[in-house]
Amino acid sequence: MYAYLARRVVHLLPVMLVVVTIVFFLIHLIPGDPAAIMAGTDATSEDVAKMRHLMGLDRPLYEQYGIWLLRTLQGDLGNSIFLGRPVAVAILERLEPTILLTAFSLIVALLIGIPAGVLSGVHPNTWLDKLMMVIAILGVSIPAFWLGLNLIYIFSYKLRLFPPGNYVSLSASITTGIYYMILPSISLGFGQSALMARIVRSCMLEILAQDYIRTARAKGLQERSVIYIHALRNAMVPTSTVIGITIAVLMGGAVITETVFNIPGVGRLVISSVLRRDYPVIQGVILFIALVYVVINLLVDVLYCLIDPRIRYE
Amino acid sequence: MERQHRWTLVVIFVVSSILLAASPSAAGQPRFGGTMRFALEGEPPTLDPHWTTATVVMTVGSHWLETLFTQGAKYEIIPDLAEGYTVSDDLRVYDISLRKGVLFHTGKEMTSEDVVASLNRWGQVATSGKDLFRNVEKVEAVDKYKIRVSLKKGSAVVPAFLTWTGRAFIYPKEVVDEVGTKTPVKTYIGTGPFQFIEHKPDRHVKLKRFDRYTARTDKPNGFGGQKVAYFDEILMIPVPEQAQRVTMVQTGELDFSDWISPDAFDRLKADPQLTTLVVKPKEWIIGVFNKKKGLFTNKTLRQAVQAALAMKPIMTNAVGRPEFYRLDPSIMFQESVWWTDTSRELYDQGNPEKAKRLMREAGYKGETIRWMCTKEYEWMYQSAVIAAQQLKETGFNVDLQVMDWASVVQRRTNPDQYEIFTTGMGMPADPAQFVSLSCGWPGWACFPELDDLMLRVASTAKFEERYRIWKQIQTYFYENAVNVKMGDFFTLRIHRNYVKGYTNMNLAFLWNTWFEK
Repeated sequence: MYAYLARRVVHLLPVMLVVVTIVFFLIHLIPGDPAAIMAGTDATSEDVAKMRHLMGLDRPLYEQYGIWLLRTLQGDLGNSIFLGRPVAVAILERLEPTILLTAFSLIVALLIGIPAGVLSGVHPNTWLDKLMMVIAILGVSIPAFWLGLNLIYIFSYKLRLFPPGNYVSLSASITTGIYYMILPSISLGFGQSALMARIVRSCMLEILAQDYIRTARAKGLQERSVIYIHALRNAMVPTSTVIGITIAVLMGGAVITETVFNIPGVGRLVISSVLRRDYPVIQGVILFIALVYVVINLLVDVLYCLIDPRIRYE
Repeated sequence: MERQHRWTLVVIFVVSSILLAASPSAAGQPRFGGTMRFALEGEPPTLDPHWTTATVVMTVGSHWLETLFTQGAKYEIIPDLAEGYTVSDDLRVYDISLRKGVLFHTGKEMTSEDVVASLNRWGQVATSGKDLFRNVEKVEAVDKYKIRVSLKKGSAVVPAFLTWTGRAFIYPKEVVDEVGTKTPVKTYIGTGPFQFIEHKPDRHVKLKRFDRYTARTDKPNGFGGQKVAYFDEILMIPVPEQAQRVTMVQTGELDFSDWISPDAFDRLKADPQLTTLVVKPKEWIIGVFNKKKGLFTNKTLRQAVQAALAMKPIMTNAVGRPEFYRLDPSIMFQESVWWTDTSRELYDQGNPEKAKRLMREAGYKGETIRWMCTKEYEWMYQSAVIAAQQLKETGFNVDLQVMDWASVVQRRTNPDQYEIFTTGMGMPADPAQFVSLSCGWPGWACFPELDDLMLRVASTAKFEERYRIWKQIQTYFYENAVNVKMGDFFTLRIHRNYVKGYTNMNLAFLWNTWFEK
């Protein structure tokens, strides 16, 4: 197991290197000059050139790449051109809203997706199953930003039940913080709940047709025990893979949801950094997201062993 | 007896009610207190206004920092931290006396050494500072409360440069010494009516009332005069999405927002909880010719473009509602003392026949005209679309290149990459500061005659004489089609009705404003 983990960690390095190299050169290929944005609208060409020199953007691209790679390997993601502070600090400052949004959205996805999937799987081809699947298809089809805008219109603008956006840290007030997270979490989590419901349903259908389920029923176990202990636990093995991927997808989806709900997280940071060509931040955030994605996949693999003791990695 | 007592009570009640109704608070008397939640259009790239010309930095900075001069209600130059000034007959030596007893947020008194240190840094760092300092021989302290600005050549525009539009903000000397000219300031201390508390990037900039603020004693006048901080705190919250800013003010999540699209005007005007304000003047739309290289080094071809364009359709498409634009030839807005309609006949011609004749005279053979614009500012794109269409109908071969703003800003400094680009022009404190009429700015208005006129307007003392030269500059602008003016446009500002006392100038500010709730 440990040898397997070590191998996986070693494999991470080339993956990350390829990701960051592609991102570095792609970003620099896009036209746009952070120095000109930083200098402002009234700046002369001379001012912009001076700003470019101060930022080190007048060096050859390969040289900029070399410097950046060397620093990154030493754990230094560089300084944000626009914010004038270390990229790692800029990401850390915005991590809390993104983690919270991801976590709350995952809770929404699980709370809706798993019961809906179980109900559909236990009562296949009934009106309940069909209703659940129609909702699931809607959930998968509706873009999160559209759902978010409609939630704002109905629950904030018309009913005045929830705030239309913004963020309150849980450290400032737990209840207010949760209150501000409700609409964004539903907006982001609903689509994933639909996906989850479909996966759980198909797993449940498959597992409920297995011999050991028939045996469990034959020996007189209560139906609830059969479903929740024998069937659902086994259905959670493939579902856990989906949960892992869902976390990564939710973090990616946070980019749009944070923009719609004005949440000052990593997603909004990356959007604004792209618009202002803040190269170090874009590179840093993508490196960070890629790392999260890879680590989550690794954790899911490890989780398999805990959920299903039959699985062993050699 | 009891009846008489009852009548007495009724009389007391009526009289009290009348007095209460006439009391200061009911009459809209200012009140202290509350936290103002104000929407910023984006995250400030820095909090140091010396460092950038970004408007959002100015909006934040003007609350905790101040300048020697500022602008009154008619955008005239008035003293702020300065008490007054004298200037030598040859306009080469300015002695500026400072107000005594002005405190920084640390409690230290502002003296000439702080002003000299700040101006010397500003002269090396800020765009307009560098402009002025090309002509500055020395800035020195005469005594504790007086500084002297000595120039190489006489200039009348020193006070205009030292206003908030020039970003000549005053820091304590220690703050300037801490960073020099290589990085933005790190310690946020000024003399403004509000003091800096914290900056959480993408979340807020928090300011609070500076209780020891030394206000001027003259009446409030535009950005200047007496400034009173009524709010306990101001939270400036970046909300980049315009629609989100609207919803957040409508639902009471925010109290005030600038930069709202005029499209929302009817809807917002009908909202009983909101006050709508047209920000007039704001900017004017300009098509900037690349006069350094390529087709538009040819004056006749530039004149052909000027002749072809009809501005009403362009402005209608750009802004939509007539309340939010104005067709006006003046380079300086109607709201300023510099307004003139000279050369009106060359503005808004919409004359394709004349344009075709000029195209032939210029020897135009259908070469591609690359017109750069962005959709990030919808009015830039919408105005360029119609202008390009009009030019195409006249016979120009226009390639409208739509890109993000960052790309426009980068490419406009390269004379190989475009023929025209669209941008907006704000109003400088003095016409001598107009960047689009200078040789160093993209588009490169490098004309000796224009340079000479700009130098003369900058180095003449009497307003009447300066105004006459300014008219000549506007004539030169139109006769040589230096660039093409489309029209003035205005923006929309909204706030909750309980926000009172607000003065609607072209940059939003929150002193002398209070909550009535």
